[in-house]
Amino acid sequence: MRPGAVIAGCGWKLGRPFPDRLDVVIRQAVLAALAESGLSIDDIDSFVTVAGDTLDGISVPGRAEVAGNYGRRYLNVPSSAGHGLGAAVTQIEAGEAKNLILVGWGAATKYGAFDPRRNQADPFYARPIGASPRVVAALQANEILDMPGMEKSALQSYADAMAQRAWDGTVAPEAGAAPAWVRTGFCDGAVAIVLRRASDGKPGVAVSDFASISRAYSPEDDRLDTAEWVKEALSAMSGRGYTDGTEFTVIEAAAPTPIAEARALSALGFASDTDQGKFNPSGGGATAHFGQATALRQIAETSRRLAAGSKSSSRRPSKGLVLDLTGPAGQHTTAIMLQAETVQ
Amino acid sequence: MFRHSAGRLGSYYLTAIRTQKRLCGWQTVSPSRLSVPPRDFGTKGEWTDIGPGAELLSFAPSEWVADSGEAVLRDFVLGRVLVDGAEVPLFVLVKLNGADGKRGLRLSVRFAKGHTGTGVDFWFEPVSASASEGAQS
Repeated sequence: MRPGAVIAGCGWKLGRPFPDRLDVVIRQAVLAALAESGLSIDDIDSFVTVAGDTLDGISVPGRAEVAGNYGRRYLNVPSSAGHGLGAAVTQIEAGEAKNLILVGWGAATKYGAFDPRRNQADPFYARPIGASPRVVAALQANEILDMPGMEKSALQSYADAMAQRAWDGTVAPEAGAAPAWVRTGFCDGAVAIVLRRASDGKPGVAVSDFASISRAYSPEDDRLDTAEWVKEALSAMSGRGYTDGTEFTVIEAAAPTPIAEARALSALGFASDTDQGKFNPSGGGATAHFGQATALRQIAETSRRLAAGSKSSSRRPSKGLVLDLTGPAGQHTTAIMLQAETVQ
Repeated sequence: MFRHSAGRLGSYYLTAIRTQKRLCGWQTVSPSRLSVPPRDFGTKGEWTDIGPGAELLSFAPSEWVADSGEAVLRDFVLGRVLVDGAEVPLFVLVKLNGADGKRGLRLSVRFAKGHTGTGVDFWFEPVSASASEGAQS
């Protein structure tokens, strides 16, 4: 178990799209996270943002200032939420920061009409042949469909259930387009998480372990199997080895599509007909996807559920797991283990 | 218009396709791998001809990506194939020509008459279809 960082507060908002400017929503998320943590902005000594040029152009530094980074240690991680969390936790464990805010955002609703992320594909081999993230995700979906337990009707039920949880509604099939379980459910999102050093004795949710694995844009694996990538990430956690998921009370995942997400969860025992709300109570990331920072919401949701559980009946530590699968096929996979510290 | 260098290995690979209608992979000892497109690990290696046959691993169904805005996918599907002699899969254009795109379907390489110096200069087709059509190969 890592010694270091505790999640002290979270704030987030989703929209399709946001009615307010993204800057305003980012600030609201930061203020909500600070309020929950009991800390003020003056207590914060470092900012880490998860944002990239694909979604935000040259606005990343400006929005970071709106979020409150001005005059503080600052790092932008133009990568996945899991990588951002790793950078933030490492700053705290290294003693570089005591109280830190991790913020991520994306205005991706517009990608529902047209997904322009072709620039992620390399310019010589992938981009000219149409291997954009959207098309690679479809290719992967067709491949996963041949794997055990991946029935179309069950996948439609999964996509509908996740949308109901995230949006209080169902995913409507669109004539002539890919089924809901192949499509990314784009939205706008902003999430802020306050992290602090674990040794100050206050209750919180500990980031007890995390590990990332990754693949190139064109993975060399025989199959684009998210379940295998999840097993690899779990095995990379401090050498603890693969876990089947039974030790966790809640497991959240964010992948590019519902089928990739369901397959990732299957590595931990998920089957759509046995889900009792342990898997993706937030609705997951595929049906509420705002880009690379998406899984910050899964981290925040899991943290809040664990914190609520520790304040109620159980005195036993409650464990949660977040799976962040970013990239066209989810090949940048991070597993994050969270553990509630029981209130005495 | 952007112009990039494809690098030492990438330039050789793309030039061989464009000028010689030849598909080749880069064989290295450390790591021990035949990569296509070539990956430059900064170690010694040698070029090895691969193909013309290949095995289909998967593809993106046209009806799922019709609204993706990828013009090249009006005539092709995006596939993932394992070229004979290669050790890692390759994203590549595939013309299924009505064949059932099952994993393991045997394919053969086809080269375009024109050339662009990119991945659209070649594609794969089911073996029976490529044997009966007149495209340059």
